Amino acid sequence: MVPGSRAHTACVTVALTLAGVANVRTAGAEEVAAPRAADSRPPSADPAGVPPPTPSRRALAVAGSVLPGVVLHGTGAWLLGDEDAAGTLLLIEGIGIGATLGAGTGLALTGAASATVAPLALLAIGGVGLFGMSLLADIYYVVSPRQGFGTPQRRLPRLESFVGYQYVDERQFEYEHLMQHGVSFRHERWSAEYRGWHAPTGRHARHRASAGYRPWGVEQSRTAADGSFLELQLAVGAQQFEEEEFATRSLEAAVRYRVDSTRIVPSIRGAFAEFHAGVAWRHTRFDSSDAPQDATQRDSVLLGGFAFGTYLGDPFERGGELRLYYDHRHDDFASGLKAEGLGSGVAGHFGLSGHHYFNSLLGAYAFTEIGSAWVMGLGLRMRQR
Amino acid sequence: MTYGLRSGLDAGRQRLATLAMTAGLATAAVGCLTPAAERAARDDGVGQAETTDWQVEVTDGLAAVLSAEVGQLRLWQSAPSIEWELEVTVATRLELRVDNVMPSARLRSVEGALSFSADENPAATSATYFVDIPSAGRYRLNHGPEQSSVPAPFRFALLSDVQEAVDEVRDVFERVNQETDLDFLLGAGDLTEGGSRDELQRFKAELQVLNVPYYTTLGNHELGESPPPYQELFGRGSLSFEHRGARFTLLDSASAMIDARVFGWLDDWMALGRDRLHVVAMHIPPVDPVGVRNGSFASRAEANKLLGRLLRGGVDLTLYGHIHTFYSFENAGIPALISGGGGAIPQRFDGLGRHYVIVAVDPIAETLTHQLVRVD
Repeated sequence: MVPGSRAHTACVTVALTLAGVANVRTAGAEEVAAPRAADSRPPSADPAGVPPPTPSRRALAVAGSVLPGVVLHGTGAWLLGDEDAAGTLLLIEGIGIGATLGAGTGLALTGAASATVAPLALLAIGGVGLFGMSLLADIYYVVSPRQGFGTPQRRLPRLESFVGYQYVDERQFEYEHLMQHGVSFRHERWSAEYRGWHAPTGRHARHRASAGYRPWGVEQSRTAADGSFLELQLAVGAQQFEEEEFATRSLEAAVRYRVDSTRIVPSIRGAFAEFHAGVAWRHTRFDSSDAPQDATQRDSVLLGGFAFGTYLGDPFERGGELRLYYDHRHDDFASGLKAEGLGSGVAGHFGLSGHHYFNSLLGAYAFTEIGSAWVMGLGLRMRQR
Repeated sequence: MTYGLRSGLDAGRQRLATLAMTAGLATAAVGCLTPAAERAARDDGVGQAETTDWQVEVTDGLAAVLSAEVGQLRLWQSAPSIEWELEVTVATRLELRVDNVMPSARLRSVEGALSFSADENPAATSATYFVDIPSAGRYRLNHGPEQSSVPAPFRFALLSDVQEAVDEVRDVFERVNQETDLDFLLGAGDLTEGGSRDELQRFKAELQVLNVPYYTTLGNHELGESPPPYQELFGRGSLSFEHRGARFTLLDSASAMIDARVFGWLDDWMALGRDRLHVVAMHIPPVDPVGVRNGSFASRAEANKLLGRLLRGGVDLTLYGHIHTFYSFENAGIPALISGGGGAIPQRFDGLGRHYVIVAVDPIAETLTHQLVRVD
């Protein structure tokens, strides 16, 4: 099975939809021969063998990636003459539609039964993710330069930290303005991270500490072929709502998978797709002189989501990444999406995030999310290799 | 030679594109943060109407005004006992029809002298009166059973989530009719599949089979149209009433949230229900007993906020629909029942089809017990 072939792509995407992640080890991280990993050197030949288009052809491809591209994913690539990319994107779209319809049918037939709802929900998330990503990949392909907007970070810094401001427009709570801060430490395949949020007014605080292990992909101690990785993560969290007199503790387990676009469609460079899945167990204590002493609430939250992103610039000097994502968790600041009509509360939240380093040390980040609340944040990042 | 749009999308334009996307996301998003706000605002107007000769205001909005014309007033009760104020500008005769009433309900004059006569052939859950108003002025009337204000044990049934099974709901209602000593049927939403006016009217037509009234709130399936016609036909989405010494509060959680305006009302209702048995019902539960399914509020934090309020208010029982099976569990230590057995697509593998739940309330002994009744 040749990496980059449609059969390879089909297997990869089916694996992704089954669990939200796939422990794919197509080869050792540095042993991939084809597709060629994106790096800072331009390739000597276009892997798709596609001649450069004229400006009018390019404009047609951009338009085509939207219409009829929103229905036929890969139209933009096809109009640029890259039939292989077009076929692969169309296949991914088909798998995504199939997974989504299958999950929806399963949920309807089972009446969202407790025994089957979690895997079917993850299948739906995976299916929608594949559908969305094949569309975004086609649009990305026709608007991006041949080498992409940037290259992936193929070796992670040992230490990264950030500090910034977060605004939350959550109509049900008093907190609005928060300071956020965090630090990540990496050693070989292991990582540890802490994040904190504090509201100077509104009496609200949140903490999250996590530990991760990457059995495959980019990590701290050696240079990988690209930015792809598989990470297993455990996290504990605490959130204090002083105004509303309750506090929540949580324990999470999740798997996160990122695959660089060149592993799926060799001619699409500088982009990536992500999936994650897991579960969080929560314990809430209600503090009030009027409440019984044993007033607690235990529940769980399904974790799942997907993202499509692009690398920006040079990861070691001036560069970063931009990410458009969906996160299904309903216990975050943004939580689940509210909407007019029947489906309010079913979906999680959507977001756009990006970071950019100005040099080897200092950078900035920004993000926005919409769910039950509108959340936006920005701040500074620092790294040390 | 490079191709693509790199020459146009330099770093500066990349940042601009990002900012534009961010602004677009944010702008489009703000309107989705309060999907229940308009419904909550309309709740304030339920039970009010006026004609050239008179105007009516139902206390606490506990009845919907179905029609108001000179010489005719038609109400749909949302509670066993209601009171309303009539401000009349000229002596008049009024044909008053009140639907969704307990069979033992009677019309009483609370303030102002007027006379009335009842229809000689009342339907089980409808009553018609001819009211003679002798002069202009303000009048206050009450309609409900006399025993509604006297603490005593009673029973009611919970039935929700009929939706597309409205063609088969009649046999459920006939099964309910076989129960003895039921005061009313309580609904926790999803009466219809899409919430259209025709569907709601169809459901009302099926309710004529019942020997008891159906007091309900709306579910997410009543939100298929904008604005949803539910409040015109059934009354408030969020309301509270007292019956035989127990308080009942129904909340509009159809958008997987409780609106901020409703939270304001909730504080008052919690105070009214603190020293007595208090049952709270809504469609979407704040927390699904199967957490990973999240058939519940959009935000767990908002769910916990509501649970905290219910806990501090001393609520004794919470009733929910939305999930098409039966669960008996606790939320923050508050006993909870989920019953979505009206006929909508059932949850599989639980051995349960259509069903309803009978709740026995004893406000004197301060006890609540429940019993699952299988229809299929």
